[in-house]
Amino acid sequence: MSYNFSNVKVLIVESSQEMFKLFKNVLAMLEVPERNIDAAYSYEEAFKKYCNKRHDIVITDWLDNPDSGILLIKDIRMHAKSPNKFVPIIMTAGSGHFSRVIKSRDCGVSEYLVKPFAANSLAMRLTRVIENPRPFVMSDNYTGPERRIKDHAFEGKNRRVAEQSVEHE
Amino acid sequence: MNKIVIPKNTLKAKVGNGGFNKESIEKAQKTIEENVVDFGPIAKEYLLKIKTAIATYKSDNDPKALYGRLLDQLTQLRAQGTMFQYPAITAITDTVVDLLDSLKTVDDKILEIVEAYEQSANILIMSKVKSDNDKICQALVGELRTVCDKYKKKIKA
Repeated sequence: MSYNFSNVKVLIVESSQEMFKLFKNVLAMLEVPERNIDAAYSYEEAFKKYCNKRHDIVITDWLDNPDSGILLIKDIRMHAKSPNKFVPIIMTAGSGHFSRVIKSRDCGVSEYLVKPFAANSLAMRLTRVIENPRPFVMSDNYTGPERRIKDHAFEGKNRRVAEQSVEHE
Repeated sequence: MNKIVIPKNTLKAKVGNGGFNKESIEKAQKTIEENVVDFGPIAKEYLLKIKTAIATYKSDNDPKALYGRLLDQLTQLRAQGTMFQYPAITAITDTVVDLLDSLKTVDDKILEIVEAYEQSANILIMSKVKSDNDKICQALVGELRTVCDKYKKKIKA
């Protein structure tokens, strides 16, 4: 038995049709039905489609119009019209430079995938957002997955409890 | 005040258990490796955008805007080169992206380097040099890397 993507809608935001086709074909091999995969080539088109169809996963390129991919993530996370602020978002980019990764993290990305990528790397990121989604932080200037990734429990007194309220959706 | 929300895992509820099949991942990898696209015209478009960005800079004189425009096009070329079976383009673009990633703006020397890069990348495309093991590719990458390394040393000093 493996994952069943028959009811999962995916939005792929790419800068070129060729890259979209490649992503679509790779996802199809990973058993995501092609009919469930939508394309967008700009920030405006992507946000409009997301608001209309409420996709379950968004995979977005950085986009070559400066910072359009970043704007899209911010709007999905913060805009009043966003139908689901908690959707998993995978950012794909041609640079894994620290500054870009931090910039994506600070606007609420769930995972970061550097292109060129291997199928296994994409599958790993999808598995992480399915199996281990992080709690969300919601504040006036940030909404997104908790940015501190802990690999072990904190041993001291947890003083943050008094400062934050925890809610289940 | 910060609020922590634990969202419902609706994605997990939809996909169920079991992960990805090993065979599916292998097929997906094969799809990437056997992807046939004529990358030459696509690369030329990105290179043209680089030329246009430099021309715009010569009239608006905004180095930070140019920096963003260059990096946007260059990272696309680096990513798509290998995805479209043109690792030579990824290799040569890598040298300039590495340099720009270590900076926050551009100056006249960087412009010279980017212009040299643009010419070298065009040579690779016109000569249909796809492999990064090709001698022409290695020579061009080597020359560009030497210039980039010299610049990095200069700004560190």
